[in-house]
Amino acid sequence: MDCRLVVNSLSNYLDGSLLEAEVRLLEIHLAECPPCNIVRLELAEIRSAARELPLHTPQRALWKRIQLSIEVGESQQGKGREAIEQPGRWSRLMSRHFTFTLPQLAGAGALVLALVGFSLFNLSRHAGQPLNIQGGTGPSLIQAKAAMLPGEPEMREDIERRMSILNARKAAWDPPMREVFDSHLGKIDESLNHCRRNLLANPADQDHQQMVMALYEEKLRLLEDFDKLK
Amino acid sequence: MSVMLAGEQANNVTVEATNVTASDYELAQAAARGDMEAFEALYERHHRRVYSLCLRMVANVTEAEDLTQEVFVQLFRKIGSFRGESAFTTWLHRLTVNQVLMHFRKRGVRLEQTTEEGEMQDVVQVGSERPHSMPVIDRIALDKAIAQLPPGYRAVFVLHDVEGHEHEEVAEILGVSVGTSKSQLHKARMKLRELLNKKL
Amino acid sequence: MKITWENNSVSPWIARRLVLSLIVVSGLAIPVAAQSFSKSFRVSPEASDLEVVNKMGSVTVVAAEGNAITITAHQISGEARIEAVQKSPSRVKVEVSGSAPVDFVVGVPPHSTLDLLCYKGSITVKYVTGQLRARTTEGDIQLIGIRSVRVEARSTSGDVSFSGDVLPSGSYTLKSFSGRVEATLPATADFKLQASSFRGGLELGGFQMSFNKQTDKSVDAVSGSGRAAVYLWTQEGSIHLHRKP
Repeated sequence: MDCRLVVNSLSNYLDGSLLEAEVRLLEIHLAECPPCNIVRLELAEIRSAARELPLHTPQRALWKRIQLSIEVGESQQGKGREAIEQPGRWSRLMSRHFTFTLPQLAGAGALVLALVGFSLFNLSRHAGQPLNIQGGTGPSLIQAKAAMLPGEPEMREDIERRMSILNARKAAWDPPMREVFDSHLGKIDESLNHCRRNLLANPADQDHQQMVMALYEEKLRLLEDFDKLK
Repeated sequence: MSVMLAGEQANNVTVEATNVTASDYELAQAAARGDMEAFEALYERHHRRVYSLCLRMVANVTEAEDLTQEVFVQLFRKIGSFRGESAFTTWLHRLTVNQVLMHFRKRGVRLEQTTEEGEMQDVVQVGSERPHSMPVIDRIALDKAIAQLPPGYRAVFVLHDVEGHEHEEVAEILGVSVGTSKSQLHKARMKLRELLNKKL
Repeated sequence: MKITWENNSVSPWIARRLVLSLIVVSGLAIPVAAQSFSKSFRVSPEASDLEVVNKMGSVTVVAAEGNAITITAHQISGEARIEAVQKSPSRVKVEVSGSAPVDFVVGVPPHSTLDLLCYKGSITVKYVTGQLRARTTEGDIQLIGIRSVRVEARSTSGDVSFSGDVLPSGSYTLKSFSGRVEATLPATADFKLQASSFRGGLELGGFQMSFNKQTDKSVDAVSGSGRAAVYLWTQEGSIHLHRKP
């Protein structure tokens, strides 16, 4: 079989759409022709890698834009639906109405008191110990895990992946470009660590929650920008 | 947040809590009744997949975000018509592809255009000079290489290899023959091979 | 290069070597000359799209009537290479490689969609109405007279300023990690505002707002009926909202 014909058939071969007789002839050729076999291997890798491409994440503001578009569309259509504000899960929770009986309230109050007492007890036991978020069990790990914000693990994974790619390419960058990248990444990381420490101490602090996610996004966008530069 | 004792009358409508383990169908039903939380839950579940498809098809971040926005606005308008005959993901995927194709038509992008400058020469390269020189493929490099494909090749490659459509489906979606879909896919893969090898 | 010699008293071999040496020496003596770059692309009247990926140097984009994207660049040294390519009837991409700064001045149809990036340099955009995305790591971003439905401007270390209109369903994101973020909007602007400054404080310019949330670090508020979304963020700098009279 001619090499050109073999190479032109490789995609159909990989996708399983050749006839048996064609497959046999092709495989005989591939066994005896290393260059064609290399092309087959490379196309197979591309095909396999395409199936495992990671998902991309759009800007967080996109959801707000979608909400606005829906609201504008609804008011223009005169459906008379009230525009629904969705500034965040906490605000939605705050705007809800709950109905409790007296015994339910009393039970909830007792539970809260018990939890506060337990936390104070554990804090006094662990005071002065460094926070271990690498492994092990115990209140510090639980606290660290509890402080992980929604979307944070995915952001971190995305960032780590991009960092490893960029670190491999950094050696080929101009020194000024490398310097700007390192210096600004360092500043973002410093702020991120500062905010995370505050959040570990006070997980309900909304300002720090927002800052942490905004800093992750800032870091991710910085990596994306440098990834685009030659 | 207001806390009332049992027996007091509530003046406001109480929003039902959304079950976080609800199926897509259940969320779609709730969203069709006006439950924005349910719609937001659908967005959280599926927006990355929609955005990734748009981004790979149009190779432009701004356009991809705009398309994602249009998809979800369309989804909101049409969600009442989802009857559950197919998987929600399949339905949403089809909505996304249709939006992308409309976008191409509006922008005058011809999917039969397979090159940036006229007809492409046959780029069959029989064998590499270096034995199996392409390393384990860097996914980000592949993503960038896909963005460099001409629109026609890119569309076929994304729909077939990335999204997993069969050639019959790709042909129907793009309005081409199955043979054209197969040949464009092969050329897309060969072009990607060329682009990835150039990076070495 | 071919050097031919007529009959001459000087040996041809020596003469050739002398000429070549003179060329090499004069090449070394003359500093790499600053060059100019200029290219123009006709784009479709319905849509035009410009992407600029610069490294060092400024990018200035100004709306200009007509259906052309006109790119000029100045003060280029020999170590910068500019690729300007028309990717489709409506889309132009300009990309710089090499280590020298390049300053771009670009004229675009007003409705153009812009995607501008550099790592060290300022970005200025004037009077466009198309969607706009501008990013720089070190440098200021100035957006002047903008009337677009979608604006994203981000600097890591530099000031970001915007003056223009906010349109219904529009989205305006201005961010700087350590610089000042400033937006000047019409007094009648109708928008939702989310603004955060971790260290630098917020000034809200006297807009009549109803507040969903307000702390010393962040604000979530609505002016009018909240038809546009404005997001201002800085970690270290300050946020200033001004009202145009």
